[in-house]
Amino acid sequence: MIHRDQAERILKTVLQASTADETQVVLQSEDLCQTRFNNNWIHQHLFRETYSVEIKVIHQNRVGIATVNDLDESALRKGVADAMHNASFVKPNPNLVPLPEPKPIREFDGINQNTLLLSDMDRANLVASMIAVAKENHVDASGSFSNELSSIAVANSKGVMAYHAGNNLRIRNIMANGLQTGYAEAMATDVKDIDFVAVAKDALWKSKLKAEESLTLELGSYDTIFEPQAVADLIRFPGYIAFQGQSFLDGRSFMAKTMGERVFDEKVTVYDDAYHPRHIPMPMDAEGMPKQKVMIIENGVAKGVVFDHATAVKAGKESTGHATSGRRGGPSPSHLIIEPGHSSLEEMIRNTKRGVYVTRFHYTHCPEPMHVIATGTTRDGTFLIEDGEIVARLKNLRYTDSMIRVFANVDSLSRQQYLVKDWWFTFTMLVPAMKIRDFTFTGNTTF
Amino acid sequence: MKDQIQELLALAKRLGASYADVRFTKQISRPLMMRNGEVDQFSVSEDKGIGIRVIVDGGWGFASTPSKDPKELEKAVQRAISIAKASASCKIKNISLTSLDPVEDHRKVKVEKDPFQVTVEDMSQLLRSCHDAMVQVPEIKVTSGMITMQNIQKVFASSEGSWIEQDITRTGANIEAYARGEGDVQRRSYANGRTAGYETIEMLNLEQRAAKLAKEAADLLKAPECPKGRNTLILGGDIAQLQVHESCGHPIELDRVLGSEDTYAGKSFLTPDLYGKGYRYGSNVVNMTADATITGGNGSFFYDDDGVPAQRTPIVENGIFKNYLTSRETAGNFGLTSNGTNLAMNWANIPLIRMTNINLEPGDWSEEEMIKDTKKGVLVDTPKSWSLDDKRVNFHFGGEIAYEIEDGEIVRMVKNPAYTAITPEFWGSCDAVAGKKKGEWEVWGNTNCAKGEPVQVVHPGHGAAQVRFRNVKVGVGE
Repeated sequence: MIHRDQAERILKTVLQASTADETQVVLQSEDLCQTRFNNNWIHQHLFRETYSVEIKVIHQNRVGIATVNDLDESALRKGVADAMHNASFVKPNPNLVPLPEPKPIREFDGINQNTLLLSDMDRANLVASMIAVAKENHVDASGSFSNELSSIAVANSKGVMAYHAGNNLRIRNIMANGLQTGYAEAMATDVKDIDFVAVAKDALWKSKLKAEESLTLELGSYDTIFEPQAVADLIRFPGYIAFQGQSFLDGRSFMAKTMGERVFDEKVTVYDDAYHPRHIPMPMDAEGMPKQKVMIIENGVAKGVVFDHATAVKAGKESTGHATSGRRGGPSPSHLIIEPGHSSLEEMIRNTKRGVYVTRFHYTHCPEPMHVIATGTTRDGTFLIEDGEIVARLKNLRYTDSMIRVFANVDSLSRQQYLVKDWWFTFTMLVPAMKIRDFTFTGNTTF
Repeated sequence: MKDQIQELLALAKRLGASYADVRFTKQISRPLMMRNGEVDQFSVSEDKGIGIRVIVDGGWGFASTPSKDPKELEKAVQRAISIAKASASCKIKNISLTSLDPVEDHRKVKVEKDPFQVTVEDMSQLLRSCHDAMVQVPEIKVTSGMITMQNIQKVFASSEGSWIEQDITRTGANIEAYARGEGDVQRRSYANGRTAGYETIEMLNLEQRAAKLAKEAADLLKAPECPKGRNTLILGGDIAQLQVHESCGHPIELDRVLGSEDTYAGKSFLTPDLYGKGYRYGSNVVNMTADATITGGNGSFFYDDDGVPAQRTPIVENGIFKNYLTSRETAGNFGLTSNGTNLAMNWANIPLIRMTNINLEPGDWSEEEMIKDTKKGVLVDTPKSWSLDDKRVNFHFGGEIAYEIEDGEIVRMVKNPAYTAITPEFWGSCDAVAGKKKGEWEVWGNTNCAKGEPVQVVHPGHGAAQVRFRNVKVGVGE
């Protein structure tokens, strides 16, 4: 990982080399350790060191970009020259939004020392402790354990100079009891905050629960309880489609015409807050702008979307600190949070006459973005609830439903929130478990 | 470089590796993106580095670094060894690789027109012409276009004596038109790519397509919803290629079949017990191949990242499942040698079994004959959404556009088409595959195939033409 001193030297080298009207440079680095296991052994195991320097110049209303992963001064200077060269070919855009002015950032050290000191053998041993649970209980463990240390540094010719480094880890585990599976996961910045054996046991009990057979559910609408990682996949669609400034400006977001109106159930409050103490904190975005807390849905009412600098200017607002880097760029939520409720998973089950319990989803997608109609299948533990109890395991189900309708039909939310990612790894989110009235299942699968 | 890489391999052996390979790649990309007729972004990116893979005490280790510093490279070797030892502490068997004769080779994709020499003016003029054609239609509110080019120079060296250099150029484009009406937005798009030069772009007829796409997007705003219910379904080549990708290409990846992708991408319904048993994947008219040797195919190359030569392998013959995609590590499970599909996104990642060009081989029909032969049905084209369960059994696809067919003729355009089915039942209901007429069957370039943790995105190809299925559940919510 690239540390602050080295990062600032690189950023300054780029800025000094540029003769453009405006220059922005984003340096990102990552040290990733990933341990993957299946059938009770480690089958993939890697260390990956990556870094990239993205140089963006604006010269005479033309934008040019070059990205390099060579940190030699000559390579950086070539990157600047390439960006200028690229800009020279581009037709001037009189509507171009200038780079942002610097703003104060609440800096903090995001590196946890316990996590930083994990060795390759430590990671293997933690995975082995989960595999031991599997072996003791005659099931097969599979999963993935990632330990990521990353930094981002941003500077521009208007005086922005910002740096942040942090680390986090995530463990995901499937226990396979023959054809029946159970899943659990955990994510944290401090390895001491994750009980690996507890995660394994959580996946284990779901793999053993009502494992004798799987029933085929009659399709239709059911009161449905979602574990947090399933909730993450449901809110992901409004998250990337509707809660961001570009689709809002384009009119491709349902929020474009409903701002100030009730769109979700009044129990639902969604916001983005990179400083929330239970999130993976981050002080800034890929333009070096400070992260702002953005209220998106408050008590069911559409309140706002996140902006990067350019979309904010076009909307007549201030950047909320949600710029992304890379090929497409643009604004995106980064730290979505759904406010907790007053229930628990146990209470939700107890209060359900007949319904479905969903552990997680697989490969969800959105056929109709404007109405946020989404589809996907359940996996790794889908159960039938009758008279307040889980009575049977179900074969996996396909849902197809509008997420606007789904979040308008919230029955209850759990008191506890969980730090999870959606299946696609789009967002890290802090969300509760959730019960929805009349969730629509449209297909069965064979297992 | 050769001496340096050989030194790294020798170091790995000295430190206890029973096998080692080193992969160096340098990848240059130059995408030009246009949004609403203005260049949104023109960039060049260069990414290079080295990945070192070792087997020690029967366990895998891998480490990668972008550094050129010899000391950092040695540290990467040491880290790969350390990781392999940690892996070996939690193994149930020793990793073994199928035999492979070492090879020394240097291959390069044939490029007629170097895309990196094409001026930005020419490229932006082409995309601007597409935009201009699209906005002739008043309902079109947003347009975008992109031309991409990528050159990958790859060196693979192994402790078994292989030294392989490959130079692969890939070029592609996509254009999109968004029409906005009262409470509705409809998109029409086109994307394609090949392992070839800028001649690819000239073959795609983007300007002509742009005008047609824009009109279709606007017409979709006024079109009725696609009728729901069981129906005959004809897929256009653009969505048929993705159907092949998702419901055949992924389930035949042997690493996934054996469980190594379970947590994220899932497993496969094509379980090992079905191999070699004459399992019926589809009807008699369904023939599929994996072919990394197709000239210009987006998924073509010369050697995979095990150093195994590119091959053509039958996957489904007359509806019967024949073969998986394999690597040197997995092929031995079936007493086979690798069919050469182990590929990494770049130097920084380990190779995984990936699709090459997975093709639905051309059939005896033409699209015209297929429509004429359909009493009642829906023709769907261009993928808008796709979702499959974790064994690739139940799937749901959404298309951008559809047409109702009655008594052998297309009678109206309908919007928001979707269909859902169970994979072997679906391919079992296939009764006609086109490809008879020139231009119907082509190898489509897929630019966004994700797999693995960390996620690796690669670029397979899929030969496909129009294809017909009977008695399919059609319509969103069905």
